[in-house]
Amino acid sequence: MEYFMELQRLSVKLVAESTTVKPLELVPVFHAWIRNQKLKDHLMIDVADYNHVPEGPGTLLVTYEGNYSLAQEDGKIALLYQRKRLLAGTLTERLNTALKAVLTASELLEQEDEFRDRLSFDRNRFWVISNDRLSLPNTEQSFEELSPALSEIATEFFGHDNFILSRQGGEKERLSVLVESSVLN
Amino acid sequence: MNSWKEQLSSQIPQDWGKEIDIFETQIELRKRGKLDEKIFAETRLRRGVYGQRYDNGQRHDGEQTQKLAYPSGLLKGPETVWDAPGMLRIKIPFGGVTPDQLDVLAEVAEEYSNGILHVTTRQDFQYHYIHIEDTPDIMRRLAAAGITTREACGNSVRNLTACPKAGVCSGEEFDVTPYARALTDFLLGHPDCQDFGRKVKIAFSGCQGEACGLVMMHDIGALAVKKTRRGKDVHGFALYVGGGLGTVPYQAKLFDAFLPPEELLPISQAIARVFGRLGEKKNRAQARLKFLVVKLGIEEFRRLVWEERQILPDDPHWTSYLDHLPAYGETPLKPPSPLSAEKTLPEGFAEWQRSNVKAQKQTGYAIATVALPLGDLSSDQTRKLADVARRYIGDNIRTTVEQNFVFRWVSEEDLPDLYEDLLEIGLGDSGANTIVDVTACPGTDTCKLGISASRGLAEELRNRLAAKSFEMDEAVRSLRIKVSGCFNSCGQHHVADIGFFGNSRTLNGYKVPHFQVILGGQWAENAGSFGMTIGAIPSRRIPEVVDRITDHFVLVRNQGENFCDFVARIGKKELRSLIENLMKNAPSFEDNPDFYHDWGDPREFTMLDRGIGECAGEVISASQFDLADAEREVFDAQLELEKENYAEADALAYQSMVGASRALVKQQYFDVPEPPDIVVEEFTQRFLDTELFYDKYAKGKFARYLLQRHQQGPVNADADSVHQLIDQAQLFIDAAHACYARCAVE
Repeated sequence: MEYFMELQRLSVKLVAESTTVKPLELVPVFHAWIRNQKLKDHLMIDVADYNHVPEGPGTLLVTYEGNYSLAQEDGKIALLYQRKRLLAGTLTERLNTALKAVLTASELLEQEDEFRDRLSFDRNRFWVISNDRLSLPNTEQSFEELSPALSEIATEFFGHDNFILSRQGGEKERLSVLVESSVLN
Repeated sequence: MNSWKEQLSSQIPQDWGKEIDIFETQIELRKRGKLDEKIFAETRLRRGVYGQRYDNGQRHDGEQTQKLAYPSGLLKGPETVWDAPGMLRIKIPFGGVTPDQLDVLAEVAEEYSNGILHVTTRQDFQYHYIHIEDTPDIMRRLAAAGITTREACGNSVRNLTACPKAGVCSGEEFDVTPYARALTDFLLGHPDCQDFGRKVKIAFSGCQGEACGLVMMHDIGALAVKKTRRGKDVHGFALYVGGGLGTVPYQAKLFDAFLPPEELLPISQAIARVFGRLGEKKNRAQARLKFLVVKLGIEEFRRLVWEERQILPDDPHWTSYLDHLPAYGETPLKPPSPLSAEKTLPEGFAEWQRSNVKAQKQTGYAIATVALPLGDLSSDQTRKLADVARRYIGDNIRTTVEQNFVFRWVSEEDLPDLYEDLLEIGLGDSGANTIVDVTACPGTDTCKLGISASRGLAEELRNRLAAKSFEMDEAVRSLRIKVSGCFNSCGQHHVADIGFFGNSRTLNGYKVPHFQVILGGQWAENAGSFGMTIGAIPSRRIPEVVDRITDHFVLVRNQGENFCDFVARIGKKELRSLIENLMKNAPSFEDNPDFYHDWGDPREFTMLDRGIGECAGEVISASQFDLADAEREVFDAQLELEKENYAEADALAYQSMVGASRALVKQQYFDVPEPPDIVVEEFTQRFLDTELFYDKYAKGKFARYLLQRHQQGPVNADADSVHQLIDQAQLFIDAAHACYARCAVE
């Protein structure tokens, strides 16, 4: 058994450029999501505001399965899904589930009345982050091990050979892979 | 290797590793229903695994209470759902932490929590939104870095706090750090600290005049005192007992004006034994040490403790650390160097230096406070902060009870560069140790007991005060504001100049979040006196309260008068009159719905989300813990049998019976030694010969399983024999439980 295949704790991130939306505005929106049971496949628990922490999670929607957060990051807004509970299926299937989770949330946010025309996520690129330094530390070998599964997803998402994978993050940071469309670049 | 257990086995102290393995088994036992819910609750609390808001399986969404349908339906304590994410508290004795430890803390925060480290008002760290199944691996990763969560919660000796300037403060008598370390190590997991009715908090301070150690509000407080004997300095401690905040605060009482260091550990042990024996166990509201001291009177308490001290068996640990004291000291990373007058200073540096920097007693060095808004910092910031520390100070970092870090041994010449590096990572805020640096407990953000949003209010006040800090009167600037989300005082509101604690009132038919206003608490003199309650004000009007009180202070204070004296002089009536109209004339809900919401929470305010707090833990006797351990050992024996490790299975089954019998003996003879020969002999005399252990029908049958195995040694190393022994051990443990219950009733 290859350890990287066991990866369960993973995150997927999307960014929105040129938006006027501030993460703090998400506090009432996430509360309303809980009230209206907006995410059908997640048990939503609470909303936490960490906007006072630079480089922090910003506004956090806590669910049993994982956390969603919207934060300022390098002048952009980043929507992150951090999976915390076990996912079923192969590594590719698990990655797909996490990607779908962040895509669903991004669409729901774009549809919110107060964000219409103010928020648009860039779906030409997304980041997959290994939230598990034991199974998949931030090394070139890990990147190579994860690449086949990511390529399967990217093929489905961007089309065959229409994508680029690149390893990101410093030595002490988690392994983060940018998956982006090569067509628009 | 694909488990942290394997990966880190060589880096984790053996006893810590074993304890974590045991906790992992206890989690499994609880999941299988083989460990009582209350025993498990106190067990996990003593490992730092705490409950969190909404873990009772429901939450008010602003309109109605929704059920949170967690999948397993299992409980990890009374009204505490297994699957609900919770809090993990991490002990940082005297706040001492290194860059390498910060790196690990940061990794754990982002992998298992929410990427946030929270510094508490007792120098701990806390993670939130942790799943209980992840806790053993988190503990292993922390343990490999020399950090424990043991006894961070529950009815135990909590994190031992100390002045963060110890060793570098010009006002101290001597450095209390090595004494604090020795007492921490001595009391951690000590058998005499396992049978308390409530928690015990200990603090050390290097001097009387400043606040840092807060000795007067602790169960046990040690204040450094120096005497001169025959021309030589002699170190000792003024030992105080029975202080505490909580609903009704108590000032500690002097136990001994000069306790020599060689008595510090044994007297603490004797206090623990007296508290364990005589402290209240049933009425949780009266179970802290402060109530026992009041009940007995300090004279009688002192007499009992010294009496206990005389009969304590000698322990080499009491004094062995003293031999290492002369060698103790911190090593600065850089040589001392004054800040050159020619150096170009960055913008904002002067303000930061004024509030955040203090000179050390060692010439050429400074202490710099890294201000953390609400005590929070992100994993990324933590890693970068660790690197900043590596550049300037090495390992010399401490957390503070004001939810900040201090960097010690900063060469003064480096201060401008340090400031710029801190700014770069978002940690260069000035205003530390001023009115802007508001302290708050977690409140309704995450605490089950929270009534009002203490963090929401603290953030609002911090933002408002920071905006006008430049024009602030110096007398106001030096005040302290502290906020608690309820009356339990985790935000330490009693000892602030201006303190608030959360409560609620019904106005116009709606529940409205309020804060009770407490004025004139004394932060200095080790939290020398407590403030007076002025009145409850709607939460949204608290910023106005701060403005009115501080404006009045500036206006009418006498020359040189501090806030504490000002409050005492003008009195409650006048202070109340300043804010009384804020208690009345609530706007209608329709006109101002925000008035009915708490800070940072758009939901209509409710009290329905409060749950049962875990601060008081569960009262579980040492015998009950031992019986639970016996259950775990017989479970482990079954696992070894499955792996065909017959000798190990036999030993564990036997050990479980000895442990269960020792649990019973402990009820009558608390200090029963561990060797099996003694335990079995005592058990035989006290429980078998007296027929206390007798089952109504089986009589002494189950006891004979123990005696037989004890006398005959290991059974045959085959599956059948070992299986039979394990069955017998289980029956013996069941009988021990029944016997314990009968004795408890009697």
